[in-house]
Amino acid sequence: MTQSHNHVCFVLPPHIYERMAEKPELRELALRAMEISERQRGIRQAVALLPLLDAAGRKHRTIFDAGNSINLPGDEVRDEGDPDSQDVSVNEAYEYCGDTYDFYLNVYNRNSVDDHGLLLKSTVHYDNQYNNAFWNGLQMVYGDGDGQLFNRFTISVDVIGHELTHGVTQNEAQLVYQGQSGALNESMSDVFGSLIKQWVNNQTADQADWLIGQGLFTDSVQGTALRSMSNPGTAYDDPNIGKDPQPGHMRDFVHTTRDNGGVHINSGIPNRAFYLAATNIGGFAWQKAGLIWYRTLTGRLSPSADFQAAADATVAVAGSLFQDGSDEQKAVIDAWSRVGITPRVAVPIALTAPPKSLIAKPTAA
Amino acid sequence: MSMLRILGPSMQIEFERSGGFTGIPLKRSISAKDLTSEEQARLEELIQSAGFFDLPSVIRSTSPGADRFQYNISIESNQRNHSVQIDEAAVPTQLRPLIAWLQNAPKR
Repeated sequence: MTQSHNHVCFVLPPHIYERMAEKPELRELALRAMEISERQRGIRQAVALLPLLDAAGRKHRTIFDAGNSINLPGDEVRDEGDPDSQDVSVNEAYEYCGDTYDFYLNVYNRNSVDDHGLLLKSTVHYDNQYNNAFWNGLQMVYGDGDGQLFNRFTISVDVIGHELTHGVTQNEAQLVYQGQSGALNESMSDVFGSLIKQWVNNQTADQADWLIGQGLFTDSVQGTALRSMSNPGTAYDDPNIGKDPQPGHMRDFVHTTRDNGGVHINSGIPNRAFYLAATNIGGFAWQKAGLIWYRTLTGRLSPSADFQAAADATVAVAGSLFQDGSDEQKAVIDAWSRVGITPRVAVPIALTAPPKSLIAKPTAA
Repeated sequence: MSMLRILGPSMQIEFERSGGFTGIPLKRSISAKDLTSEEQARLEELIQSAGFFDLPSVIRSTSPGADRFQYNISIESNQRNHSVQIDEAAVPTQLRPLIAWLQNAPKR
């Protein structure tokens, strides 16, 4: 029996590998060497976490194929740097995930969903004729659609952006997926999904269509998209699937036990608020309005935040970024007011005159 | 003689799938009297193997995640009535075939 020795095992102290791993070009080599030496010592734990991270500023996408089963992640079919597949779903998941990663890094200096280079995993061909896409807490998952009402769910960059943004929210505000906080969670995903589409297409707020999920419906459906951020409730009206139920104002808030308290329905209200702020401010929406919303999501919201809390926070952030009383802050106040939420604006004490009764009368010298 | 030995010919099922990325609900109403005897037999088999009447009223998923479906299933019959609300991520394996059948039932 012959044995072939194809590997050269480096046995160096761990700190040498760790220093090597800091350099992007040596990282793969270092990780493999560490894994081999760790195995030899029978210690797997330490290395198990390393594959979840990637060097700062480098995306690492992996696409899996579930083969129409519900087993996740499925078979790996395309890894970062691999050439195009024959499978259009695989390529769309890969490309649009890349766009999403690039957007967050270039626009907000964010390195993946956890801001620490988390590997980006996507599974396509999930289940059979599955009319959905979702984030499961660890990865993105896409169905093929039934081909009658829906096309494949990788077809549009904003769908991918929406799902990945759920990962961002999970690592930041952790908005509870229920009621108003859940509708805010959904809205954040639509906001950044739309911004990614606008960024990829280099569109200003005026040029953007503010539609979510265009291309998902087949030609047999009477509708342009799944949601309209500019005009909630107008995206579709079809004899089979019904009419777009989204409200655009608090007076039309939908109270329901379905859909976790209507998180995909009432998201229309904060969606419209963002659209109004972005178009009022003008220019590229990701630069100012998007920045306000991003800073709010990543530093100013608690998991139970409701629409009022989001309004208050975005106004405070706008004041912090662009000064109190700025056009940007006024646009944000106006936007929320127009959807029926009056932001509570904190007025700095220095700018208010004290009541006359409290001003001490000068005493005689 | 009705094939629905346990559940009775007046059995009524209300099925609703809500949530998901699209937020577009899917609703089906199934009346036993509208089914063929083969369909009735199959449905009863699915309800029995799902252990439907022993399921808790609410089954929530504890895993994080978003854009998953929620299912509401209500079965009324002579003998028993029961309703269940379940998150997609928490659907027990034995319930999957019943959900698939209900989802694919023709709109009547």
